[in-house]
Amino acid sequence: MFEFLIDLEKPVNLEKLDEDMRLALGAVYGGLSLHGRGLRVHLDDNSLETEFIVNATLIAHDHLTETVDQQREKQRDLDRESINDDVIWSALTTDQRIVILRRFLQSFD
Amino acid sequence: MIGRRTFLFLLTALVARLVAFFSGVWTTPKTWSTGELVTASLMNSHVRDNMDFLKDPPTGLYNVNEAGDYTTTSTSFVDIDATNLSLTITTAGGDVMIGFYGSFKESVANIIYLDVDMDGSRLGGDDGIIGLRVSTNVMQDTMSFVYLQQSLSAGSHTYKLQWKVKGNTGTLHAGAGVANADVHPQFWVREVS
Repeated sequence: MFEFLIDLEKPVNLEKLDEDMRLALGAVYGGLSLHGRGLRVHLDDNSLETEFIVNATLIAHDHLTETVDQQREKQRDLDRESINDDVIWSALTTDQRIVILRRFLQSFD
Repeated sequence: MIGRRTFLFLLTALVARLVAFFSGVWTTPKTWSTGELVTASLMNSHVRDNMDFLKDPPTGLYNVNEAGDYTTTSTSFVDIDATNLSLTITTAGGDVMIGFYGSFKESVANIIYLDVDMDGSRLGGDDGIIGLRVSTNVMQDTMSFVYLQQSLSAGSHTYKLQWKVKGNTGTLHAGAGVANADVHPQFWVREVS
């Protein structure tokens, strides 16, 4: 197993970069390790061609793009929060709801 | 005036004594004979130096306190930190004890495995020494091990802590100031017999 060591100059989304590298490199790709700004790309091949693909993939990488798993996880969190809000609202008495609504309306004055 | 050969002999003896004094050297204890003259030299090498060696055995230790946590997506064993979590000791030959503890998390619940590489060969082999299904929650999952390696040859040996994941991204908290997860793992090796 070989390693390419890269001193990162921009932030990365490790999960997305892992997905990008796996797609670009195929079977020779082993995974990524990150510690601070030091990124290690684990590979079964250390040819110049592989190094070129690693660098090109890193340049093309956008840390703001999320993996499907990350999007799902985010949506799950939002759904959970929304359910929690519903549960809390339903647990209130009518008087408590009136107080909250009144404060809410006053906030527009 | 002393001759050149005498000077070299004395210099060699002095260097050997200094090395023994500062590093501690194990000498297999001699079998004493009835009526044998006990000299200072014998007492020093067979009693004092051996006691010094036992008091301060070959030890390697790293207390983790880094600027960032360690992460990996590697599904094959790789070094966690080839510089700091790599310990070299020079042994007298015998048993070595290896220890580690640390707190982990995963980006999506999955398994993290640990192993130790000694001089290029993994001690556990296969899926390593220990593995744990780790959750996404901070400070929920801790792994530790104490591993006894027996009948090791005398000489210099390098131990590296390695890990791999079954999938997703594994994190080892490294005292990096992360809220509620600013904990400090420790990795050590020590000759014990």
